[in-house]
Amino acid sequence: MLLVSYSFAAFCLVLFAVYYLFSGRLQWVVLLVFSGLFYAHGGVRGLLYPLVTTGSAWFLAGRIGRQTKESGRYMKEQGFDRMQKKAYTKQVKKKQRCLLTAGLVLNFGILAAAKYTSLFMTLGISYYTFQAMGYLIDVYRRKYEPERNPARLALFVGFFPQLTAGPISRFDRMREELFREHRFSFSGFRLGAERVLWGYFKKLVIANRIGPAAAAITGSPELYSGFFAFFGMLFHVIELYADFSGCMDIVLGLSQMLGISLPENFERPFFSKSLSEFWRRWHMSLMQWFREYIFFPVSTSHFSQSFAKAVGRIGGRQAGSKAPVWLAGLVVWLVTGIWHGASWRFVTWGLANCSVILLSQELSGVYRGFHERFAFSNRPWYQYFASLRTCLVFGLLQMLIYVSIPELFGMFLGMAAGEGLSELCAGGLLTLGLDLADYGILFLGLVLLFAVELMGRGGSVRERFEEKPGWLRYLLLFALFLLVIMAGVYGHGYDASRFIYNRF
Amino acid sequence: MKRRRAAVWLTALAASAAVLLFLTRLLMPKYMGKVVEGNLTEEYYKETTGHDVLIFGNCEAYENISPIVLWREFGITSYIRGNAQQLIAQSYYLLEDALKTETPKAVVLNISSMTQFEQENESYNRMTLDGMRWSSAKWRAILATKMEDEHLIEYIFPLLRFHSRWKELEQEDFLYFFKKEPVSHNGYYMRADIRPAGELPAMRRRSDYSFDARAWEYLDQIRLLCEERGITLILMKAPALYPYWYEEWDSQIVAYAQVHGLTYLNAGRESESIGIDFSYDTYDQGLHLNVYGAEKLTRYLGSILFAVPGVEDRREDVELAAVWAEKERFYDEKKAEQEAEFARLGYLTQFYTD
Repeated sequence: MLLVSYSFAAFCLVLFAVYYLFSGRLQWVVLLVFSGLFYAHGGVRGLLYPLVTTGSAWFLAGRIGRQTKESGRYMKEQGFDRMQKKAYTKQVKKKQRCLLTAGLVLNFGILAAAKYTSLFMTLGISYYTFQAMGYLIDVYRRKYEPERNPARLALFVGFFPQLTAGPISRFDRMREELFREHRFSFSGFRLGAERVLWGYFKKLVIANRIGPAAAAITGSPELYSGFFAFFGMLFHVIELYADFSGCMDIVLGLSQMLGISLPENFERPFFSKSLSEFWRRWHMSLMQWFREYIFFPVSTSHFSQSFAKAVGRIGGRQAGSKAPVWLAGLVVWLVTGIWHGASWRFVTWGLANCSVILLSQELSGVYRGFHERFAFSNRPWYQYFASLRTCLVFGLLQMLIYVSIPELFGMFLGMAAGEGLSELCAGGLLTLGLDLADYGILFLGLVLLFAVELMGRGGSVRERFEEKPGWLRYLLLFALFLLVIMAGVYGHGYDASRFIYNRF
Repeated sequence: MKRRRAAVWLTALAASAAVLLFLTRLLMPKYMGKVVEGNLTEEYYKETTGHDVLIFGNCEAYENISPIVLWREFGITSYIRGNAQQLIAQSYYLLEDALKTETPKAVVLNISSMTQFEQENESYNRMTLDGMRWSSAKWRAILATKMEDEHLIEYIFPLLRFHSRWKELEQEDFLYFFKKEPVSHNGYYMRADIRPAGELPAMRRRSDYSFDARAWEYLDQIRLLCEERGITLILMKAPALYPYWYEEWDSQIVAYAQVHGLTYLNAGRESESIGIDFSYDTYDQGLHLNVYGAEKLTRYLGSILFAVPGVEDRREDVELAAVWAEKERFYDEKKAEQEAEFARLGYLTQFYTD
């Protein structure tokens, strides 16, 4: 079921009615049933894979949890001394590691088969697999007890708003949210609805409108170079952000309407001063997942320590101490690239991001010296320049998904030679599927989006909005609603309403 | 305080609804230019008097029969509930809709719509269904005939369908915002231009001549509804050189009419006796009749309708005569206008395309 569809709107209306009718301990069952319906909308067979993931995570986590408990009891009964305890715990951990490995191999195997073969594809497989495996690893790490009720775990894995594009949540946090009673609160419901509306504005008015133009350029890089390449990059970045963050606003707003708080996934990434900061503020839950379940384990692994020693021997102590971070960063970005798509272009994109981040980390001393020497670097305009520079770097790296590195150079070197400029001046942008009215709407939409993001730097925009008089809020929201209804790209003849991150 | 707050909220909601209604009205196509068919369904509801004959079907119904001539020469009151590419299912629901307010003596159904059960272009559905008054019949008509990518909600709230028309707004959208001029003559679409029949595509044999089972079901439903209300159902095929009406199709309708005791008029076979001359009586090379051909066909049909029990010459009815006199005046005026323009330019500007 698409978030931009009438059937989804009807689905939500029925859900809200039933959900608040069952106000009490059964609410999570309602959510589970509706999540199942949401999933089964694309075909009952599609339920099989999340069921396998849930079932395996529940079974294996249960076994791991039981082993932990039993081993503790056993060691107490036997009165083991410290050494015996250590040896026995090691033995138990080995068994648990086997169970964990089985779970990871099975589920990431299914994920790989879905993503990289044409055998099957199922909605949100990355997101629910990551959530379920995060849960399994946490139980293995003894962060919390395993969930006894498989149905409750199924809701955590398959909570429908998250299936489209995340965010990826942790079980200990979500347990508090999903399984408590949610009484209807008009203000909470209204705030959620407002956020949903803002999300649809980003998606329908901006992303869907600019999408065809971005696709025209990025889809045919051989036809568009020079200034067109720059616009292609710009359009692609705008589309990506409006699409993905719009989807998140819909997901988070919808959850808020149900009384459930989900973790934020964006924090105004385009105001970041560096690429590493950008990636800390973009798709935050995925990056946190990678950090927690890949970066830290890899950087503290035996292999990493041996690698650090080897590097230290060759390059000195300082290089040796940094080696685990380099290695872990490389692995994370390799996985990120592969996760985004099954082609060498994505691998290149991931490694290019990794290179820029590691390089800027290594040059941090040079930057510090620069900032100390030149006072202007603390001025507001320089902060904006740094943000713009980050956006540009992000955009350039994004283009690697569509073209090779030499092609990218070729496209942008053409700009220096003035390539495409005369076509642009002759109305070339109007040949990309957008007319003047479209550009007008886009301009207005982007100004509004930028203004709201800018206001967000000084504190919560929503809190400040709430302080405004009721009539003004109503007027502004109705104007936004009209903008979405009238200027949104949706409905008859439009068949590209899928969210970009649905594909993952 | 509470009351005041409620009043403020109600006013705000009413104002918002008014804005949405205004935008819906503005953005919905007015169909006052080259394509006027979008008004045909809606114009029926402006009728102030009943009809002895109701005619249903696609373009072969609303372009080939003139209710004004039926009145002028036979005193028969009639109305055509036809539209572009109107499906037989839509004809059934339009009949159901009409029978809520009147019971005619006869229903004429042009059966060329038996050849196509599913709609091929969404705009045809919108032209037929948007003008229909809301009732369970409209609801079912939408569900029965909407295309795969059409949604019921877009009929309930047409703004969702036409929201992007703000880029295409024309003068007519503002000009006819409040009121539209009638475009038909009791559902008849008049064309007084002439474009003689020319070369037509070769007739090709088909692998299957059977009609869709669902089309038969709706034909049965129309027949049963007429039987239930004591209405005489007449099946008709209007003369047209193209699209071809195959012998195999004709024989199925003949058999159906025989089994159920219905009158079936294949006017295409009677073209000569009716006096249809496709070098003069058509405006689009033989696909549809112009006003001259339509008037000839209407005379032929009138003589048959006159034999239907209950169908009478009502010209003596003073009240009816007054209403129809105005219709005749409008018909004659438009016909004269078109004739003069065609004589002057060789085409009609309203319908002219490069």
